[in-house]
Amino acid sequence: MPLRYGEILYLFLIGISFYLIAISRKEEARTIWEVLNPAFIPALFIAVFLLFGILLSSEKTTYKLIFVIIISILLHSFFAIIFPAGDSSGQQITLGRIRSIYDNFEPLTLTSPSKPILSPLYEMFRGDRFQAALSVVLARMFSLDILRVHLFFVPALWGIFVPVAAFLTTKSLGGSDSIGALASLLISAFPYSIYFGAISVPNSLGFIFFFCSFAFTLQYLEARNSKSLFLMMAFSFFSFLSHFLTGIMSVSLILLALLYKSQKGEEQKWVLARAIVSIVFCASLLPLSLVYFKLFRANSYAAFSLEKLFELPINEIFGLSLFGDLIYGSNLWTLVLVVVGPALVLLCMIGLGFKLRRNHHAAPKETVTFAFMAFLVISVDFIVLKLFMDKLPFNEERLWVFRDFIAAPFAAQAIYTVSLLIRRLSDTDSLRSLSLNHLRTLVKTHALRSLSILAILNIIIPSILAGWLILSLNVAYPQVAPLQTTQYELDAVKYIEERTDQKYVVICDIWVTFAGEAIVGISNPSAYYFDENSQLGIALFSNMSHEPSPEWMLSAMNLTDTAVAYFVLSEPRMRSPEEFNNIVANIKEPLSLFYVSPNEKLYVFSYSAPLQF
Amino acid sequence: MSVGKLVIKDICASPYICLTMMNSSRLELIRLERTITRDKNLRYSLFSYLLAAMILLNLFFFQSPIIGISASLIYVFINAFFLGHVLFRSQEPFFRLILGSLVFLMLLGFVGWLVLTVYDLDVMALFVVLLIAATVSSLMNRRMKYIDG
Repeated sequence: MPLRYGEILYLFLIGISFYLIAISRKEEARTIWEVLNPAFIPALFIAVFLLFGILLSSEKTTYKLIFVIIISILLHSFFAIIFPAGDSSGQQITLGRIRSIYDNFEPLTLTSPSKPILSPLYEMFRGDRFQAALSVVLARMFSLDILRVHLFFVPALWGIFVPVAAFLTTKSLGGSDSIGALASLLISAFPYSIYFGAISVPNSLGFIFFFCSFAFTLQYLEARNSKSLFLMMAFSFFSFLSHFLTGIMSVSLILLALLYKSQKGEEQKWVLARAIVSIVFCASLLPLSLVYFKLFRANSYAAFSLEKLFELPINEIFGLSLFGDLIYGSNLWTLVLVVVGPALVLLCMIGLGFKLRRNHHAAPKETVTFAFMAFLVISVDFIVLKLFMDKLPFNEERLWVFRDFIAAPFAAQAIYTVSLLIRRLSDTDSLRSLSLNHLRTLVKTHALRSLSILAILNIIIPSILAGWLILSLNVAYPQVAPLQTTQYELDAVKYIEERTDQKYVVICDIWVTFAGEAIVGISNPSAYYFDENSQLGIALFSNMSHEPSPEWMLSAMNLTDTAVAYFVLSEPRMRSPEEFNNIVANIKEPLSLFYVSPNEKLYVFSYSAPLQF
Repeated sequence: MSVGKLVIKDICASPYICLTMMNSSRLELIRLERTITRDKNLRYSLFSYLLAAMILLNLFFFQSPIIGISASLIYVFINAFFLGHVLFRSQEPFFRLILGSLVFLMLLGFVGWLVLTVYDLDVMALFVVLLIAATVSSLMNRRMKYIDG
């Protein structure tokens, strides 16, 4: 089928958007917003506007989904394309660990903290090993460096598979193909969902498998066949293998589905009681597992606590349970965006609930009720974690991604219903009701009304939705951030690696450590960068900055059993250019200048141990 | 059927496979899927082994991303068709391909994870991973053919 003009224009704009992001890449950047080409947002707005039009049209579902997948990959690739080493976050630490598997070395550990008895089990099943296996396999298959594969790994998988899972979920909830396609795009209109789709961390991979597991759980409730059961279990297992949070949530919802399914045929009065017990039981699994997590992982101190409940004022408690940490200094739009999705979900669920009450045998009744229960489980978990627990290994707002996955299909349903209602308005005013005496006036009124309905359907609704998506991007990608790993830091690390034959250690700040993790990996015994949390590494860098001396470099070499030590100093990471110049001026022999970046913002000094006879 | 004939024929067919995937209509996708999943004389199973060997040779001698990416994509798509055919028969062909790809990636990751747990993921281990993953998906496809009669 030949593509329509709107679709060709859409593809052209997407191509332009990719090009604009690619040319926005700079060697120094803090946030994507400070370097993003000014033409990008207008181009993206028009592309999304056109896409909403395409999604609400009668185009084939396959084409619609392909269009959504293309834009979904684009929306999640900002970090990977613009920043030379991706976002400075957990993804760089994950890359450091994956690099050790890719380059096949055993990380050198300087200190060995006491580990729980079950820690080998945790080490085997920890998420970054599964992600590492998959990334390394793909990097070797493609014959590409692991850095490139890692940066695009989650954005590409998320961009392709999350819209498909959203589509399948919507279909199981009784939505049409058009609503499914709309939901697959709306999943990118939730800030937390965008952010986690943009960073390559095990948690993001777990979210993808969780969503697939949820989609097949709904199919299992709908069709009750063994294949759906196998698929929901398999996706849940991989969700667990990727990250314990997504794994536990996935297991909770599977248990909820099985409990929900087993209550069929019971008396009506017991159904509600059993549903409440099921929700409480499934919601308790995550908090309890976090408490017992200390049996498997060192430095895990999560515990129940009533401290917040007793100490915080009631309005803050209420705010925390609704908006999480966003109540502390977030702007109005962020709060609105966080509320809009769930509010639409609740409205739509209540609306659907009333609609289904009239028809007890309606096919999606079970799946809608289950989705509502799952939504409650996630909400209860969020409140418990936020208000009744302390020292968690992650921030509780991550749970909003689960909530967004359930929200998107209902939000799509709500939007589609509104557009359908507006369309019906134009049908009610038929020409049969017109009187011949007032024909001219009425035709004018009718035309005006039809035009305004057309404008609402084809201009205002897609504009609002496109605006919503752009606003979500604005919230999802940070507005304030430290300077990301720069190109010249990466070049310096590559230069050291290429020009050094012996084992070496690098004394540097945390940012160069991130660059080191990207190129040579974490705690590499032959190219050693101190762990980003290493107090020793921080102390050595601080000493070298205040009092540059070979003594510190020698002690680093002795600690790591290396023959050469490097000291890397980068101007933008210092408090002022004067401080940078002072340190450089203070460095004297026997330390020698090894490398200077072309823009003279980074210096590398080297020191070799004196030969001992 | 000789392996030589198989290679020439299928390598000649590979651009067709790619082009068909890129702008295929539903009918063409179904035809392509049927041809691959029928797996006459294990033609496509052997072809995916050959692609695995090609990936290995590329890693040893050429290190070309163009060869690597194209061979890998064809390898993944053939096995995705196998798994999509087995696990997602009730879905549309497009969904069969997409979900089959996801399941095959999961399989690759899982076998890779197992190999990593017991050994290391070096180049030869990667070849073993590719062979195991291709064998599992081919066997599942054969089993489905057997059930279908």
